[in-house]
Amino acid sequence: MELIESQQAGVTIVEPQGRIDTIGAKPFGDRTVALINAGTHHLLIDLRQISYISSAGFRALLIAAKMMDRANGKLVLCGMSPEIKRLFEIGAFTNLFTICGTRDEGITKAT
Amino acid sequence: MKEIEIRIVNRQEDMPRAVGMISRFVAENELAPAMHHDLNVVVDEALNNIISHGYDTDAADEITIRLEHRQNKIVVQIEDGGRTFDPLQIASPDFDASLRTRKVGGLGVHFMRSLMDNLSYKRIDGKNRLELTKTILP
Repeated sequence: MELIESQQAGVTIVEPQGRIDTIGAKPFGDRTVALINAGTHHLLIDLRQISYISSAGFRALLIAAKMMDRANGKLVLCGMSPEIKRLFEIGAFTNLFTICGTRDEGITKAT
Repeated sequence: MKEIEIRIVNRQEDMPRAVGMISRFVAENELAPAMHHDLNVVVDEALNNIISHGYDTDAADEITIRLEHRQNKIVVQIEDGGRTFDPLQIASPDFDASLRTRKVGGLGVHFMRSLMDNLSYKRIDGKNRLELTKTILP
């Protein structure tokens, strides 16, 4: 699992590559937890290079969202494929996350 | 290719071989990207369940994964020699929970039920056999 990280307008952007499955969820989750523990309060996760997310990946996302909620920060997701969006709907996660279409919208929401 | 079968060891590190197998099967059968996506998710869920919950010890076992293209259906069959474990008995998550109380337990099986058209489980000759079927949309 490769994670591309950048900063824009005070927002930390993480762009994981490939799959957030049983194997990929571990490094992805470890990195997001580390960022939030290190004081990142404005985090955008851009999923445009992700082909699929399984329940292990949703667990990692849920942990990050809960931590960010406790830290009074903002966690935003963007760049989902239609298939990944469908999983968020099937899993009833759309109300638990702030979801944007594009990276620019995501940065605005995460600021 | 109408059928493909591989055996992996019951370790997470061996799971990427199933991802490669699905890619080959999808390409050979010219299946749609949405089907590719759904197969990746359900096979990951099934293997993760077996590897995480199916064994009391760290004893080595082989898990057989078979993909078949039968007429207008894709059939996924996964067989393991772990202890009796019927994933279909796992309850779905509490979808009304708030962010603070939401848990992920049961989500994998919920994805399998939602993405596939039919799921069946049997214990045969000391093995768990999970079969997942999905119709190919025209």
